[in-house]
Amino acid sequence: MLDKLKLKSKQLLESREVNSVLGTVHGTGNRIRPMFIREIKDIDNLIINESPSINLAAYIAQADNLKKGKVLIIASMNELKAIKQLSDENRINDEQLRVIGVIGKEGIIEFNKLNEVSDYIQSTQSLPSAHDNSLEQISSMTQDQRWQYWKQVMEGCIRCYACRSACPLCYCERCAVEINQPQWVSVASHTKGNFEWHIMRAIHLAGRCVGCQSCSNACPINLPIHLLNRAVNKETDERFGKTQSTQSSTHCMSSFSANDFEDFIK
Amino acid sequence: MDNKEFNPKIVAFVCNWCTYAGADLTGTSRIKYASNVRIIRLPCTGRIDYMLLLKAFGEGADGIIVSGCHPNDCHYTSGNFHARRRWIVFRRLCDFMGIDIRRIVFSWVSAAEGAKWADIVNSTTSLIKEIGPYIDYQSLNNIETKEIRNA
Repeated sequence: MLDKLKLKSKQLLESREVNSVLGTVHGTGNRIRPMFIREIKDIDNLIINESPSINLAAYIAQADNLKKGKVLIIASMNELKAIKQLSDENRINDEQLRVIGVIGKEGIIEFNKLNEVSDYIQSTQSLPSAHDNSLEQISSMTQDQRWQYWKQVMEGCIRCYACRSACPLCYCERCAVEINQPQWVSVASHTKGNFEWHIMRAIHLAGRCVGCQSCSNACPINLPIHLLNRAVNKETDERFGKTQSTQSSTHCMSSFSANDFEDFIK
Repeated sequence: MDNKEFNPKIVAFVCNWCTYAGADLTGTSRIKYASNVRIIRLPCTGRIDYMLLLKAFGEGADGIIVSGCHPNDCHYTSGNFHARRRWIVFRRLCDFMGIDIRRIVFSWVSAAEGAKWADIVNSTTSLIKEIGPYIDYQSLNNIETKEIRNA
């Protein structure tokens, strides 16, 4: 499978159909790192990342990385989901990106157009990935227990914004935490500002998060912040329909239905 | 210890077209209601950012009222529908994080519902009086930053 992947990447790079290949290579130690490969000789370093902890789509979400020409991305399921969401949001287009999917048993799938990615994602029954039950655990706590739990988590946050950098869908050129007139979120790594930051992050990703968990994986303190996204997405999925399978590019938070159900507004 | 009765601070974020006019009607109808509420007028419920609510709690509010036009009555056609989706998600997230969502009261109050406005304010005030000041959130201000804590 790896040989086929290398061969295909080489062909595309040689024919100058793509300008670079975004894949994973061995880093220092046991680490696996992402790399934009521009030289054909470097293609041999490509590896298939069996347990991806980073989402490569985060690199293509940055407009700068696409300015130097078409990119071929070696995508696992998480990347494919992110690519679908990014193209739904008109962040990327066919001129900028070629996609080769590397999916567990199915092997290598070539996508010539981004809408093929969307079709593929919609056709695959997205299996409930091996989720732990921490969401249910936290939900079953009392309100005060939840508060104490999250307060403890938030006290740990050092506000390095690694979660933001690692996220394929956090791509605003100017993030709201960097706006200081008015200053919405305190910039110090203080519990109160941390609460505000993580609430903001979760809301901005409502219905958009693809659940790759690269935010938590990138967190140097190992805070389980992906649970916030998962809680929010559970709500949007249940209330406003499965966001992953909606055909239209309008995502649930920029649209509405007159029949949205709620039971708390007096 | 002071024996003074706890007087909650309640911040109300209301839309210009319905609830603000409704609250105005409450006044012109000479209906008396709790003076604990501080009304902040915004153009539309669609403008009521969840960050405003967090700011209110952070600055010492014990309770929050968010109110606007009834569905289908929005001056801007759909501002309150968008707001409703946001509230649903925001409320769920706050609940998940252990923020006391009883303290955030959402309502629809039209320009003709002066009595309903007085009712909302009074019931919210008595509710907050019952559950006390929001020390949990306010005490976040007193947590020292990490550098100091570890020194």
